[in-house]
Amino acid sequence: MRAAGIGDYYSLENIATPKGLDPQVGGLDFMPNGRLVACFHRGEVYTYDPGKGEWRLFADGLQEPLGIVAINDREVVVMQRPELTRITDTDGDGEADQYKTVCDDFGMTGNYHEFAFGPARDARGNLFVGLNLASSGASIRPELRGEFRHYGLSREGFKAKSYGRSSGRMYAATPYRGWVLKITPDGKMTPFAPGFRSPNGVGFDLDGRLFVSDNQGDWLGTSKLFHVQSGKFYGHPASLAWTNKWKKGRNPLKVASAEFEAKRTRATVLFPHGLMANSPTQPIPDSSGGKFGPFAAQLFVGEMNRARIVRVMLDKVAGEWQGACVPFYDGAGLGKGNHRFAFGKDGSMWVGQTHLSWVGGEGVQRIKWNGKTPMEVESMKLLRNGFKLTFTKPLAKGAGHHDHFKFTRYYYGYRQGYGSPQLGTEEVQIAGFKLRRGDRTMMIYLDKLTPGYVYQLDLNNIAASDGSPLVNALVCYTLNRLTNGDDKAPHLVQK
Amino acid sequence: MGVPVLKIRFVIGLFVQLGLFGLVIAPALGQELNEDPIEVDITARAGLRYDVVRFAAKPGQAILMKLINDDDMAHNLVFTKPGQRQAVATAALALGVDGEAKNWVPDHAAVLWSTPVLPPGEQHVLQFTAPVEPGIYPYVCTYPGHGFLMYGALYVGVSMPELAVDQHIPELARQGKAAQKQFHAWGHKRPLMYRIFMPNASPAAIAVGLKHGQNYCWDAGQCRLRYAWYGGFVDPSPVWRGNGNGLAGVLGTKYWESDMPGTIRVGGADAEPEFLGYKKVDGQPEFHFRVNDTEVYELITPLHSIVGIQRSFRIPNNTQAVSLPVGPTSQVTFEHSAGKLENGLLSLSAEEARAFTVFIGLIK
Repeated sequence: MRAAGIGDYYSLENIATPKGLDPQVGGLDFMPNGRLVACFHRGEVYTYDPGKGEWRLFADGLQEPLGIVAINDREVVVMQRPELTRITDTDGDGEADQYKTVCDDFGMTGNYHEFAFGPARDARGNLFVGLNLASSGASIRPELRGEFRHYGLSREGFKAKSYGRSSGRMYAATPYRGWVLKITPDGKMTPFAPGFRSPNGVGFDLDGRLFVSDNQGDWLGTSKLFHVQSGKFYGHPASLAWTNKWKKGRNPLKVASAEFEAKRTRATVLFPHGLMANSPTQPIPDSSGGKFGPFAAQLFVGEMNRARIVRVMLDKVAGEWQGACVPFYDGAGLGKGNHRFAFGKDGSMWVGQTHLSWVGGEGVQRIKWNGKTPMEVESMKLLRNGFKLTFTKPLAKGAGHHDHFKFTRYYYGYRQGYGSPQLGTEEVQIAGFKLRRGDRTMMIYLDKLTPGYVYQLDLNNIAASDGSPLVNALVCYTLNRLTNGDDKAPHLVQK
Repeated sequence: MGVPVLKIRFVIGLFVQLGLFGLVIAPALGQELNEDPIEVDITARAGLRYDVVRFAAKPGQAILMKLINDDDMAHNLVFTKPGQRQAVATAALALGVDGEAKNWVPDHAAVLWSTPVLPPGEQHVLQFTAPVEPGIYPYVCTYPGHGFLMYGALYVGVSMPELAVDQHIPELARQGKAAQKQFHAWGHKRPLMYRIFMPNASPAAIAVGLKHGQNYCWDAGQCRLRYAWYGGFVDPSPVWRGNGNGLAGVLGTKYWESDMPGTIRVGGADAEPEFLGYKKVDGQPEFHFRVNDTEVYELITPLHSIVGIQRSFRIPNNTQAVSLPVGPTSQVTFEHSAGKLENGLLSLSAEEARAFTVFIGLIK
C-alpha cells in the first residue's frame, strides 16, 4: 500500500509578506470585506487583499501583539502585552488613527514571559484573553504595573541572584497572571478562571464553548486543551494567590499537589508530548461548512515545534467534554511555529507562524482542500466497554483485525515538577470488533477502561473501500471519565 | 495656546553673535599640489548616518566632496578642527531660531568647511584643500540632534586604525552595522512610536520619535512623561531579537528626566490614573487618560528652533484646580503658558488647565 500524505488532499500556498517585515504572526482574522488582517512581532497590523496579493499597513507601534479580532472593515481589537486595544481607522483612509484601551486591568512585572493571548469573542461581543505567568528564566523589573504579591519571595528577594529558588518555575507576582479574563465590549473586566501556565490559544467552538490550550511544563505533565468555564481552576497553582478564597500568606509552592488535584478541572484533551504536540496554540473550529473537507465544526489546534496542525474530536461523556486528538496536517510544505489561524470565505485555512526565539517558524500560509476526501478517523466516542470509531469513508473489507489496531494507555502525573514522563504504560488488549460491511463505523471493545488515562490508538494498514489508505494513524483519547460518570483517578497525584 | 517665551530669548541671542562665517585654511605657501584631487561621495542615509564614515587625504590635497541626501530629513555636513566635533555640534544647537538661516553652522572658530542644509533628495559639492597640518578632522551633521550619531572623520597624513577600534567614527559603524537597522517594511519615517520595554519606566512604556531627532518616553502604566532625548530613536533589537527579555536602548542624549512621581493632579490628592489610549495627530500620539473622573489629553510635539519638546495639555470643561509635576526644570529651558511654578510643580486654576502648554528645551 502506498503511503498516503495529506498533500494528496490539500494544497498549500506560501503567502509572500512585505519585504523588510519580520513576519512572525501574532494574530490572524478576516474583515467582513474579505481582507485578511494580521498582526506581527514588531507591532505592525497589516491587511491583505487575497485577490490582489497586496499588503497594506493598518497600524503599528504595538507591543508584542498576540491576537487579533476584526470587528468590522475599519476596526480591530488586538491583545498586546500591556492591554487589549481597539484600533480604528476613523477617517477611512485605510490606516488606523485611534487606539483605545479596552482593558489594561492586569499587572505586569516586565518579565519577558508575561505574554498576553487572545482575544476570543463570544456571541455577545465579550472578549476573552489569557495571561501568561512570568518565568523564573528572569526576575521582575524595578517598576511594575499593578500590585505585587508573592507568598514565597519578597519584592526585595526578587533582586537576589537566588530568586529562582523561591519564585516558582513560573510565577504570578502581579494580578491575574495565569488567568483567563472576560472583558465586556465596553471594557469591564471579570477574572474568569485561574490555573493556566501559558495559555497561548484562546478560542470558541461553533457552539460557543470556550477552549484554551496550555503548554507542558511545571504542573503540566504534557500540553493540554481545556474546556474553560467560569470559576473553575485549571491546574497551575501560581495564579491562585489572586483568588479571593486564597489564604493570605500561604505559599502555593508549599501546598501538597493532592489539594490542588481535588480542586482542579482536568484537561479536555491531552496532547502527548513528543508524539502529538509540544507547544499547542490557537484552537479554531472548522467554520467552512464543509468547504475545507470532512471535518466541519471540529477544532483544529496549531503546534509550534513541528510542521503540524492537530485535529480534536470531542466527545461528551456523562455530561462533560473529553476527547481525542489526531494529527491533521503533517509536513507537506507546512512550516513550523503554527500559531494563529483564520478561515477565509472560500473555506481555505490561513496559517500564521511565529517562534519568538523558541522552536517555530514565520510567515503566512494558506491551505485549500482539493475536494477529495481523505481516509481519516472522523470521530472517536467512548462506549461503556470500548470505543466507537467513525471513519470518513467506508472501511475496506477485512479491517476488523488485531493487526490493524493497537491500544496503549498511560497517564501523566500531576505535580510541581516540569512535565511528566508517560507513567503506567501498558498495552490494552482488544476484546473484539464490530463492523458492518460497507460501514464507516467500527466498535472496538477493550478489556480495561480506567479514568485518568490517555488511550493511544495506533492504526496500521487501514484503508477505505475505495482503496485510499488512512492518512493519519495516531489517535490519542483522553479518558477523564467513564460513561457511568466515574472519574476517580488517584494515580494522577504525584509528589 | 501661549507663545513660547523661550523663542524671544533666542532672538536676542542673534544680536550678540558676531564673527565671520567659516574660515579658510590655505595650503602652506609654496607647497606643490601635485596630487590628483580626491573625489568622495558621502550619502546621508535614514537612521542618522553617513554611508562613508571616514576617508583619507594627504596634507594639502585637493578634495571634491559631494554630499547626497538620501534621507527623508534635512542634513548638512561640517568639517571641524581636530577634536572639536562635539563643541561645534553643541554650538549649533545653541543657534536656536537663527539656526535655519545659518544652515545650522555656528560661528565657531573650529568650523572649517560646511555644506548648506540639504532637503531630502538634494546634493551639494564642497571643494576644499586638506589642511597641511596632519590630523584627524571630524565631519558632522550639525542639524539639531543629529550630531550625536551622524559623523565621520577625514584622516590627513595620519594612518587609520582598524575600523573596529576607530574612536573617531560612530559606534555602530565600528561594529560594521548601519547606524539604525531597518526594522520594518516601511522604513523609518518620523514620527514613529513603539510600545516597548524601556529603561527607567514601567513595563507599559511608549517610546516616540518625533521629527528633528527628538524623542521621548511616555509611561502608559503611570500616564506621565518619563524622559526626553535627542539623536537617534531607540534600538529595539534587545527586545525583538528574542522573546522580549531585554530593554530597548536609547540612541542619543537624554536631556530631561522626570524626578517627580505621579501624573497630573486634578482636584487635589494623588489618584491612580487610568490610561485610555491615544489618537494619532499628524502621526504623533495624543495620549488620553482619566484622573479623578476627569479626562486629560497630552500631545507632545517637537520644537523647531531648538532641541526640545512642547507638551500640550487639554482638559475639556475642567472645573477643578490642577497641578502638574514638571521637574526638574533647572538644567533645561523651561517655559509654561499658564500657571505658577513652584518646586517643580506647576499649579493651574481650573480655567487655565483647560488648555495649557509646557516647553522643555535642551539649552539653558
